[in-house]
Amino acid sequence: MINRLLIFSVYLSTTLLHAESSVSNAELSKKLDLILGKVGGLEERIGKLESDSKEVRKDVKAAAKTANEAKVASKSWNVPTEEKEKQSFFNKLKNEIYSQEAKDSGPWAKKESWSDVRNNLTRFQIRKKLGDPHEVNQSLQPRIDQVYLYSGDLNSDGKKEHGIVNFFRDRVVSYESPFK
Amino acid sequence: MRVFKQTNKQIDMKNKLLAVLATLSMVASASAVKVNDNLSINGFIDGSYALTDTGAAKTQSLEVDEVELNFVTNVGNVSSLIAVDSDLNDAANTDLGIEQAHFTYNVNDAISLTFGRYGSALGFEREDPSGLYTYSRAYTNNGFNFGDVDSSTFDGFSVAYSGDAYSVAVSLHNASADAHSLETNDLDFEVSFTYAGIAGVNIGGGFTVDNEPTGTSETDAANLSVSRQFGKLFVAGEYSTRDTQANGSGTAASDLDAYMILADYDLNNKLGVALRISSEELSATTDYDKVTIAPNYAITESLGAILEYSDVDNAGVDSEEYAVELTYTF
Repeated sequence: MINRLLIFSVYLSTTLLHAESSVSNAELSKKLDLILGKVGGLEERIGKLESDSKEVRKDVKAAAKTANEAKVASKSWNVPTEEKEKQSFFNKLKNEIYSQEAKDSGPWAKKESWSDVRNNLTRFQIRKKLGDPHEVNQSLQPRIDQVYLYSGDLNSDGKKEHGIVNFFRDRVVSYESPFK
Repeated sequence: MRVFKQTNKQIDMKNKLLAVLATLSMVASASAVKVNDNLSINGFIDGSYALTDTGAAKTQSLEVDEVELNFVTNVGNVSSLIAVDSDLNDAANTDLGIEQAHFTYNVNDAISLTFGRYGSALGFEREDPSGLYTYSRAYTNNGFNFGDVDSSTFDGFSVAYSGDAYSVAVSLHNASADAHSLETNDLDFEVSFTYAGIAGVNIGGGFTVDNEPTGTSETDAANLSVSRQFGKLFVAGEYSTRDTQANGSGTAASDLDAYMILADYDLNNKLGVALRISSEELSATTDYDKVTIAPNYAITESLGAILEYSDVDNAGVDSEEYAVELTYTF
């Protein structure tokens, strides 16, 4: 009986297995196609993700660089806590601001503008080359009837540089560049 | 009451904010100063002690001679000058007055047009004490002191052309600033030129034509001056002539000349000495001759002193003149 049962079960299992094998192949093929399709989709998505990730990495890298630069730049903005150092810091800051203001105050603040200055130019020609003077002075010197004075701190040292143009009868008779 | 304890990070941020605020406030205040960039005010105060000794009599004076404020503007192609002064020498009239007021429009680098009240462009000795090497002027006849704007200004307009080394100007104006009405005849005019084409040399000159109605005496004048710098020595010479026509009603014709030679030597940056010899015809037979020696000292860049001694022969009457003058410019 046992033997019969055993034989029957083997037959049944082989039969079933055979039947299952033939179904699975068809479905397997379908599933395989499906899986392959999904794998393809996944590959595509992964590729895209990897590509996005590169962009992100690039952005992150750029942001990190900028942050680093900002950090380095801001180091000079650290206001010292000690009174002396703080005063020095603010003086330096003030000098830089006044210097920038002087540099922006006209062509007189550029060295090349003074290379065009020469004797015999008229007041108008000087104003065209150097800009309007900051002060127009008189002179005790009879050979000078008007003085154009340009002044400003051009090198942030806290001291003003002066450009002077002396006129006699509307002509330059002598001048002094602030870039000595 | 809640107490917030600031972290180091917060303190650091606060300091940064304070720095930015300080920056902004300084920029704001610096901008506020730039409002009157186009306007400059300068001027001078001039005073003197003077003694004239004719032998028979001595006269002295101690006074503030002149105070002047100049308002100078430069706005693009237009520049202007308003000179307000008071001639305190003139006891009858010490009020402030407009000595000069004119503006110039520069058409381009070469051509400029000026309108207003101004003085003659002629004459070696220029306007104001700071334009002189000495305390006194060379001539007693103001007709020869062309550059003295305290004696003569006129209202009109001029056209000037400036070349590389020379300038030419033509002025059309009324008879004088005190006579505002236009003459029934043509306007007076003056032609002037300057030449500075040779290093250290200045040549200037021109002529004035006085247009008067028929029957009124006219005076025309011409002037030429040359100066040259030789290192510390400055030498100048000037020649002028005035030709007055007879008008048949009392004014006789006259043709008067004047000349001046001046040397100024700078002993150092502060001390110099000027020697001037001048002569002018008062009439066909009388002259005014003057020899002046005037050491000048720059006490500071803006404060100067002149000590002067003059030996004068005024139509045969000799006198000696002494003066100390202080001029403060600002």
